[in-house]
Amino acid sequence: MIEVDVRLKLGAFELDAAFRNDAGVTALFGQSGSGKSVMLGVIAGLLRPDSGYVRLDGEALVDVEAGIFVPASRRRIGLVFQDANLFPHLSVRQNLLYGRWFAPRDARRIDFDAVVETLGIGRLLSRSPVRLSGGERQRVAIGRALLSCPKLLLFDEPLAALDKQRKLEILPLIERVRDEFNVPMVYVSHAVEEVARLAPCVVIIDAGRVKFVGDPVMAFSRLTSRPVEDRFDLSSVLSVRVDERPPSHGLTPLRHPSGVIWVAGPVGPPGSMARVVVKATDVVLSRSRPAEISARSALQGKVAHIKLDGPIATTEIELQDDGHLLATITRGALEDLALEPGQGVYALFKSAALDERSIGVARGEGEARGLTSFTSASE
Amino acid sequence: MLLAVTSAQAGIFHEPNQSADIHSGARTGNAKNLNAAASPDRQSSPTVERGPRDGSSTAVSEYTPRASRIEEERAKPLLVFLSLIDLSPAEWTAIWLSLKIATVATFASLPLGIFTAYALARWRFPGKMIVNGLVHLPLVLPPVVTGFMLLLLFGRRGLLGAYLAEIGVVFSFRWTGAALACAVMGFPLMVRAMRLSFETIDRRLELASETLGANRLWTFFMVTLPLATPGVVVGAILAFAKALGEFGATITFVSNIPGETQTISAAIYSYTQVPGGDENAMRLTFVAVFIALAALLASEVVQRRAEKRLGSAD
Repeated sequence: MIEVDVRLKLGAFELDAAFRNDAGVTALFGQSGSGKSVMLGVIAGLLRPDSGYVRLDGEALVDVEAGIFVPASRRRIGLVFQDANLFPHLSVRQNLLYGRWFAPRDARRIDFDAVVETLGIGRLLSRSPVRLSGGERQRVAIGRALLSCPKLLLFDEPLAALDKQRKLEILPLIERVRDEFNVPMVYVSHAVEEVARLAPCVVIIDAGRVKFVGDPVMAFSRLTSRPVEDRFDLSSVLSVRVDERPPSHGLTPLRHPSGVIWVAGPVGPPGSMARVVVKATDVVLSRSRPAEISARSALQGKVAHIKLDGPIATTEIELQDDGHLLATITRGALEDLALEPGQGVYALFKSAALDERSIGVARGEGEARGLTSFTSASE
Repeated sequence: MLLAVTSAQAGIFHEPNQSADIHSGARTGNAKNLNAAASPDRQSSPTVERGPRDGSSTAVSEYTPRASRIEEERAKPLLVFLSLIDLSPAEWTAIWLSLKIATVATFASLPLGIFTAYALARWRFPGKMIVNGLVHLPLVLPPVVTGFMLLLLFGRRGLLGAYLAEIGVVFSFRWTGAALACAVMGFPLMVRAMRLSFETIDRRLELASETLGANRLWTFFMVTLPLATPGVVVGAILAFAKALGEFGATITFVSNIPGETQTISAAIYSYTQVPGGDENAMRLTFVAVFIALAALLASEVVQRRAEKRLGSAD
């Protein structure tokens, strides 16, 4: 259980944010400069808030009014930085064991070999971090933070500096860490894919203020909860169930109450739950279901909101039975289709535009661990 | 074997010439004059006691033949070169003393140097500019002024010296005083190199260390200091080299006493003050060049190795 309610002024920027969550992973989502990293610094103890408190499992880490400030070194909160920040004068093994050495003896519950095994860094142990690739460095950084046996693990955009291939390698590792070591996490990112995959609870931060707290499906698919973003950053999240794959073509059907989404490739075992990220610019709207068209996925719904921005119109489609979807179209298309709130539409998108590799599947037989335990703590 | 040859030749070609006379003169009375000549202001200084200590070098006369011997051997360059390395006990004493003083000065000032460099690099405190100025003062002041200020402070009747003398710590006219002078003169060089090194360390590595449970002190010894090691070593070597070459402040503060405060530099100076002393000065010059080069090479090697180990900070 993490409870945060802090205010901090840094030059012209002001953080005034509060949230609480007891799900395993909390994602802090926001544009760069929104204050999510400042928030992380406050939680880790690297920054002192002007007022307010941070509590972890009921224990105050900082409480300005009560005069409590636990220094970073005694908070036992592991932090994984964007650029790893491994100690260049120590070997990989020494880096991994650094935090463990300072952890109280009875708190060293996380096994060294298990972490090395999970992260696949066994062959790197005797090397110098200077000679590692970006992806390897980030693995070691995750292991180092984890092996300090923290009460809370913080990730500060750990994948932002990596290329797409590396991201797809590391993301499942973070999932495994989440599932195998049972350490609560706060994950900071501005990538919807990462957040949708990892976190059952999203805190959207905009200009130093909390805009929304809730599950990713709600957080990302509603216009009202999104800060003003570039249209290419805008995507929505759908909660789907993986269906049996027909033998032909290798496509996988993902079932949503409003229709079937096809993705090009295998996605976890049938029956499991998954979250799919759909880019708003990839969505085509149609008033009738088109017959001869290459787009394979068509979801039925009706227009809920329309936001105009010059020649661009962002529409929020309320899907039939469950969920929302954002679609960015032009003003011309909006007028030709005579779209207005309440109008029934089909939302179409190309299966080829969805990256099946970035779809995370919750483990277990459909009873997804993260997915069923959404705890929306919005106030 | 070389020694045997040269002394035999010395025996053959020895003439009790001018140079020998000067040397024997120096032993009895002129040493005092040399010292006095080296620091004339001492005569008027109110806080200092005068003169060299007793029982200083009696070895001077032992190598008196050499000057004439070398003149005879001009035709044999190799032998001349080798004989340059053939040092007299008095010269060995000066070299040993130089190394001792420089080593003690370097190591004694190292902890304070590291602390000062770190404080200047990382902390914000009132009077930081004044501290910075004080540290750098010996770099810009004439060395004689620094030496004289040391004399006023640490002389037997100086501001601090009088008090220190009561508890048995005496700097004036001791090799410890020479080490103090060298430490003060080398301090700015030491602190500069170290401060630069501390400033280039990525702050986030220290923050990472703290989030891993190491408090500030542990972080300093486990992360900051190891990463600053190249700068610390270079700073120490610079201070060591400066201490070896230090002359002005040392001779002002502790005079030029063979066997106690006469370093290589001071010995060379003394030789240049007497006719025919050039060859002796030359020999010590070679030694000084050799030691300085070795120190520079050592610092180069340390830096290369550190760069290789820590990689380019990317």
